[in-house]
Amino acid sequence: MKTSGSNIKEKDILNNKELRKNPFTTPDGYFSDIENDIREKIHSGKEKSSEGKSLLRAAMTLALSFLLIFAIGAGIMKISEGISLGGRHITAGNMNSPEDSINIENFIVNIMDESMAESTIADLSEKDYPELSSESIEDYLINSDFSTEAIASLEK
Amino acid sequence: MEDKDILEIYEKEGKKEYAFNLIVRKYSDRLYWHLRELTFSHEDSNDLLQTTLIKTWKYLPNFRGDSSLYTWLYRIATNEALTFLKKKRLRALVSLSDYDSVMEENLKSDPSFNGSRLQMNLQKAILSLPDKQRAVFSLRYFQEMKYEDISKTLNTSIGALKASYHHAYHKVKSYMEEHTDE
Repeated sequence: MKTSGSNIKEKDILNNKELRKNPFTTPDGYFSDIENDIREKIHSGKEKSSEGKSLLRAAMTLALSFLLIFAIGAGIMKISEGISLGGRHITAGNMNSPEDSINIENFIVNIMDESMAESTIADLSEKDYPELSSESIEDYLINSDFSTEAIASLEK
Repeated sequence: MEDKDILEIYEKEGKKEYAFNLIVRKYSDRLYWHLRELTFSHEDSNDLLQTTLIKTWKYLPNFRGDSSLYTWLYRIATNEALTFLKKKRLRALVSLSDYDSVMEENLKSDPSFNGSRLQMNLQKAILSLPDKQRAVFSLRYFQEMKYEDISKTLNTSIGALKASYHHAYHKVKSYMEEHTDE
C-alpha cells in the first residue's frame, strides 16, 4: 500500500506547527532596552580606550624619567669612585683637563644607552620627534650664533 | 527596511550611529533567539548578543558586502556562541564535570520556559546534538534560513550542511518519538 506524501508529513513529529513556536520568554522590555545598553557600551568603550592611551603615555614617561635618574645616579656614583680611562684613574678630585670631563660625559652617555631598554627606544614612534621643516631649520640658524660662513659650509 | 538601504544610510556623513541602531532594531530579536537555541541560557545569550552587536559596530567600517549583512551578522553571532561553548566545555573538562549536564540543568530549571512537554522534549533533543550541528539545525529549522545563506554563515559547503541537517533532523525526531510519553 502506498503512503501518500501528506500522510508521511503528518506522521513526522517535527512537522507539528507547535514545535516551531518559541517556548521561551524574555524579561519585560528586554529588546527595547538592548539598543540603549549597546549604545552605552559603545560610548563607554571609546572613553575607556582614549583614557587607556593617555594612562599608557603617562606610565611610559614616568618609566623613562626613572631610567634617566637611575642612569645619572649610576654615572655620578661611578665618577665619585673614579673611572679608568686611557691608563689613568680619573676621579672628581683629580680631573685635570677639559678632555677628562668630555671623557666622563661620554662615559655617562654610554651608561644611559646601556640602561635604556631597547624596547623603550623602539617604542618611541616617529611622531614623538616632530618633523623639522626647512623653515624651522632656517629660523633656528638665523636666530643662532652661527656665522653666514658656517651656514654656507653646511650646504656643501 | 532593506539591508542595502541601511548600508546606504551608514555611508552618509553623520549617519553611522543611526544606521547601526536600525541594524540593532532589525536583527536583535532574531540573533538573540538563535543564540538562545545554542546556549539554553538567557544570561549567556544576552552577553553573546551584546558582544555580537559591539563587534558589528566595530567592524562595520570594514564590511565589504561580499556577503549579505544578514549572513554576516549571523556569522559573527554563531562564531561567538561556538567559541563560548568551546571554552565552557574546556573549563568543565578541567574541573572534571560535563557542560552538557549544566545546559540540561539550565533548561529544566529555566523559569522563562513557557511551553508544552512536547516543546521541552524538542529542546532536550536539540541539546543532545554537537554544537555545530545544533547551529545548523537551529538556522534551518527555527530561523528557516536557506542552505546558501547557512553556507556563508558557517563557511561550510551546501552538501555538508544538507548532510548535517538530515542527520540532526533524524536524531531529534528519534529522540522525540522515544520520549513521547515523558
